[in-house]
Amino acid sequence: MTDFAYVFDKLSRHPFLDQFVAYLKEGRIMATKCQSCGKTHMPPREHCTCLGSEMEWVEITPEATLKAFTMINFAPDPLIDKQPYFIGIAETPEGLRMMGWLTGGATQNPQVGMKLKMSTQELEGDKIVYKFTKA
Amino acid sequence: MREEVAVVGVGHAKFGKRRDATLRELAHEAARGCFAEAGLTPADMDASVVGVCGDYFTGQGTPAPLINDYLGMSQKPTIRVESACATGTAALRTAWAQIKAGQHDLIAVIGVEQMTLVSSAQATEMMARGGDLRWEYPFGCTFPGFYAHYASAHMNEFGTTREQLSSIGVKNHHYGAKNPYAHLQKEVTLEEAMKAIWIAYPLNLYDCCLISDGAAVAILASAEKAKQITDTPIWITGVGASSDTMLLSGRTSLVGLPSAVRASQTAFKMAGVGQDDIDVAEVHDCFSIAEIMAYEDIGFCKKGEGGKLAESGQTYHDGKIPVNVDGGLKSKGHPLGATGVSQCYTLVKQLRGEAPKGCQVAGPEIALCHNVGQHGQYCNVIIYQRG
Repeated sequence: MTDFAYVFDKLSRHPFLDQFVAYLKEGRIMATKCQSCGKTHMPPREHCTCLGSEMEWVEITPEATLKAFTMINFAPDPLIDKQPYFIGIAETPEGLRMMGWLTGGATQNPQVGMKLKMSTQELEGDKIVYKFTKA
Repeated sequence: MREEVAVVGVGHAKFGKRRDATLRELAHEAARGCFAEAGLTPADMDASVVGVCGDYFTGQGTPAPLINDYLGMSQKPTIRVESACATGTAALRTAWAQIKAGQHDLIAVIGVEQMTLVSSAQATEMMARGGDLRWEYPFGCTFPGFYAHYASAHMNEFGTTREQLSSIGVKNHHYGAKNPYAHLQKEVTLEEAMKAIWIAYPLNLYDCCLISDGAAVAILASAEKAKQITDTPIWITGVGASSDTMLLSGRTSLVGLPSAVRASQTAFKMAGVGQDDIDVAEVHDCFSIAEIMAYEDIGFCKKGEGGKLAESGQTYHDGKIPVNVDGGLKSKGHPLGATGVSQCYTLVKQLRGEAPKGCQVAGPEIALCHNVGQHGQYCNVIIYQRG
């Protein structure tokens, strides 16, 4: 079964995340919206901070602005052969923020405020992830 | 002044890559000095609180009974606390609360960590697990990586410069060179600090604290006991704590730590003092940007002006607000569980006028400690005052 990202921990593996990954395989990046208080969560949560547990999957706009970023030049053990790599915090027009990899043109002189588009990418080892590229 | 709980003894082990000791010996080294200067013995203690952050560095589980037993207190109540890099002040806060509640009169607070038995890459991976395993860890965001995000946003919003970031490392190494317990006792020049290799852009080697082994111990006492034991009790007059979202992407600010603002305000209110009353401070400089944001979050300067304060020289020991005049985490080292207690050691010595030559601030009366866990998930602020 497809997993999320290269380095993934078994503690996070459960049906809710499998559903998120299934959407990624369709090319859709999904958040969840609480049916009790109306709050939308990205990354998605199975339960709400209001203690509501009826959540609806909602697709987010795959556009974003870069709010902060880094280039990791000294990676943790499992990712040493990938270094250096770029990570950023992106914010969608709905005001939802998520961390992800910057790829392609987004790694050429990245700047806070840079416009990004979000897409999905299949990785080696039956993994999939969302990523940010330059808009 | 609030005279309820005081520090009546402090001790410090040598920080560094310690192949001659493990957790228990490190704790013993710091405890020996602490008990000796307080004129007390472990038998005098009512209880202990042990701060150890990560079992994964050594493989040793259940560290509190191990340390408590090794220090000769095996039948006394003990507890292990963990708050990531703020573990040391969490241990102090736990002991403070137990004394305030009237449960105990004398508590030994032991902060200890051994981090160098694993490789730097392994330690980096283990500390990255302090981030959310599901949503942030998988991207390989290291501990420096989290703070690098803040640095990128702070530089973009306020024009904070590389020189300003590097000036933190220069200052902290200046004082670390004078601290006999510091891991790296050497000065660095601004030029050296600026041309170092990237760890997590825009942070380089000299923006990042060391991975170290070490321990520090403090004895906390009730007011009645404190006055019997010493003529120079150092009172804990303000304690503030806060937390924040697990995800960096969930934060309301990427140019400061809201948990540090909240913890500082709580501590100031309890102590009945303000930012301008602080004579010397220890802040959590795990990364250069963290010290700059701490200046702003505590209120030593306005938001966005931390970089200017850093390069002004006003945070040296003879400046307006001396900060980390013991080398800070950068040069002294950052054995996670020990750090908050080490900050206590430095401030107690400062308030007693016993700091090393070239580090002692002139006649300080009120001191502040700011200790952050992970990238703001925890923050503890403690205000200490000379009696």
